[in-house]
Amino acid sequence: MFKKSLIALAFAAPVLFSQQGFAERDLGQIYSECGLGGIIAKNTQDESTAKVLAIVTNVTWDFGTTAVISEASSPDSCARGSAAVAAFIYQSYDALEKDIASGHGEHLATLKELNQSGEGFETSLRSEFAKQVASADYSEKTHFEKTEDLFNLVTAIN
Amino acid sequence: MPTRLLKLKFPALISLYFLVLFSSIHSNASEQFSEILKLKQSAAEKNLARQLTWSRLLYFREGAKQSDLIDAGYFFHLEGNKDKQKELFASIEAYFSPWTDKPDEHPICKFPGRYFWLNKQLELPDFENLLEKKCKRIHVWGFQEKTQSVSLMLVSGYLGNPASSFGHSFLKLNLNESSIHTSLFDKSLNYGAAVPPNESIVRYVVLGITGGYRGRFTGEYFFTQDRVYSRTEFRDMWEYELKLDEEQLRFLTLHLWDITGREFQYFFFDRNCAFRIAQLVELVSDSDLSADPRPWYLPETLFQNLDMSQTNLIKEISFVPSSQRELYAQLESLNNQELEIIERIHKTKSLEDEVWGSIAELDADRQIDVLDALLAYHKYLLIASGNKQDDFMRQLEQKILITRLALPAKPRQQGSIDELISPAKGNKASVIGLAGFHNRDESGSLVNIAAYKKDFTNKNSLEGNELVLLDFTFRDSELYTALEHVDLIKASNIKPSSSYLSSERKWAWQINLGAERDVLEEDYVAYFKASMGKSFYVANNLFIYGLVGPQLNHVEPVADATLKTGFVYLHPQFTFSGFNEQYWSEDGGHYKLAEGNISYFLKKDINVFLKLRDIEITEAQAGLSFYF
Repeated sequence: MFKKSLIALAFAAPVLFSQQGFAERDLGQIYSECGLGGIIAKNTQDESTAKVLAIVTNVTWDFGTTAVISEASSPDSCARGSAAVAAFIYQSYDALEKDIASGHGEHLATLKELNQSGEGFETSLRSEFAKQVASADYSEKTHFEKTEDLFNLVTAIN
Repeated sequence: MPTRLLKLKFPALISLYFLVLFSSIHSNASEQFSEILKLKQSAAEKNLARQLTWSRLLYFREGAKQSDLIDAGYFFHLEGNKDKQKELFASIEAYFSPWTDKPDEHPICKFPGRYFWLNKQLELPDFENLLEKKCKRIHVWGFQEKTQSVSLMLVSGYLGNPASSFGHSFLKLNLNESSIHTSLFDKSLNYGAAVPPNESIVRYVVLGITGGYRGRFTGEYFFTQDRVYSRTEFRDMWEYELKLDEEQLRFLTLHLWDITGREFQYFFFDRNCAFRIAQLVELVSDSDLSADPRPWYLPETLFQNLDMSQTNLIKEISFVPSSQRELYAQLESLNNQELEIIERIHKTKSLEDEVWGSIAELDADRQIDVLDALLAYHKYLLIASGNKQDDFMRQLEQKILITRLALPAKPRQQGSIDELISPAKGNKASVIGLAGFHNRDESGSLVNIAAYKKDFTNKNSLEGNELVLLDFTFRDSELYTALEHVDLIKASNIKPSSSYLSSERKWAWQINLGAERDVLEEDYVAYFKASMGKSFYVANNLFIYGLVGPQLNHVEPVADATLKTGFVYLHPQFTFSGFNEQYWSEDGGHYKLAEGNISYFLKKDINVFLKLRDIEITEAQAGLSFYF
């Protein structure tokens, strides 16, 4: 289950990513380990969206010196793998969509490597993404929701 | 042992224990004290405090009495930001600070770059071992081990944002990750000002110029920069991969750990992104990249200095086209019929079969190419509109994706993309021009001085557009000697789009704030002119334009209506341009100005020009311009 508030971490675009499979930890763990609970963006109506925006706009993983890390209970292990991928998907969604549609491209290749997937990744992803896109409510989804769906899709493929 | 004897011996044993302990501590402290003294003596003998690298590590500019860093946490001594000697000695003492249960707070782990250099000069005891074994976080970060090379990125100028008009630069660490081989996860390092959200333009300009903002280095993955510069602002980039050896690379990456997040005072004109990036490269390469006699430092100056540097730091220059340029190349691969389909879908905003069905009539391979181009164009339009999605756009995106995903995977087709030379390879930005003129009444000379001049006559990254700042022309003749004309700011965006889509032909515009001498009144007229219109290619490298708009003057007549028509021919070796400008003033007056100009570059920064100007009378001008 991909909790909306937990994707906040994803947009921190962490510096590091792991060589392990990136779905190895629950995003809830990542969120709390990285101490992101205290950051709330102002001027937004939905608190969960506010958290997301706060992370996107306020947290940069500056070579490990950001103040947020000092709040983290496990700073060195937070912001690995899953978080980097989710941030990549969120920030590069449009480019990823083009690459998935054509089945080729640098962003898709990057996602494949992050997922440590082998042959067949692009085909599986295209096939599953096609089902997602064909859903009746796809055109009404927000960027956030589309990112969430794609993230869940990618993590399920291996 | 008898209890009485034990009672006598026990206090003695305790005393002996503490005596040994104290002696040991005292001995260690003495040793350490001796070591510190020895290192300080060595540092003094080698005059390290006066060495250029030490100054650069502390961010003292040449001749400055104080560091540019305003972050007190960067210095060990209270006066470390003013006294390099004291800071050096304090750094040596800090090296021997006791280790706590937070080893990453130890000076060695906080300033590994500083101690890396000091170790090379003084052989600090056990430095490499301590760095390796004690400092955890830097190894988790790992970039000093993963960095294969370093690149400097030059981002083209962007007239959409005044602060971006002169371009931008940042540093990229090219990583050698075993799991990721694309550059999207390379690490980028940006220097910028911390500007609060919703800042007013006046505050932004004033504080940016006067040092009212804090500046600092921040790190992000390259995909963030790619998204902003290439895919949102549609700017080209040039990647200058540097030739640094292993030691230089290590020094640089360790120093990035020292400096990231530390605060400077940000000055838009001189102590800006390019200047700070130049300082980073200078630190490790013994080059002199941050020097510029002018009171400003442009991003392209960094790359021009890099080009001219004796240390020969450039390994390779690569052109990174913007996503807009890639889109135009993709559209170029379609034929007219296919382009028409794309335009019709957007013009009619229809998803009905009568419009959409034209795609299904194409053969499968062409369907794929059209759909890929349609999706790319759709994304481009969304970004260009600030992501304003109406119902049509949302439904269109879904329809494109459903249709495309039902077809086989195939790499996107695109035409070739001409590799643009780096703006740093073009002429420099400031100019002094000398010319002679002749008309039926007089002859004389003209002197032109401009702080920043990127116009049709010179080679620049604005590709036929213009940005001119503080451009003064002085005239000396039998009739008078005076300032003839000044452009405080002149900007033009009139070059037509190279896209094959008619919907991509944007409005051309020009603005001009300046003053000119009224010969009859022997006085000056200050004016502001703004005009808009259209431009078209009529042949290869030749476009024409027409602009209309008002001119406001500070004297009567206050308002004029203007109509300007012109042409520009951009050849790699020379430029030929001309215009006719008509003015109708509110008092019924009418006058016109016509001009033709041909300029040729003799060498990179020397240009010869010939101009014919007609305003009341015809005047010929010929001269040389020197760019510096």
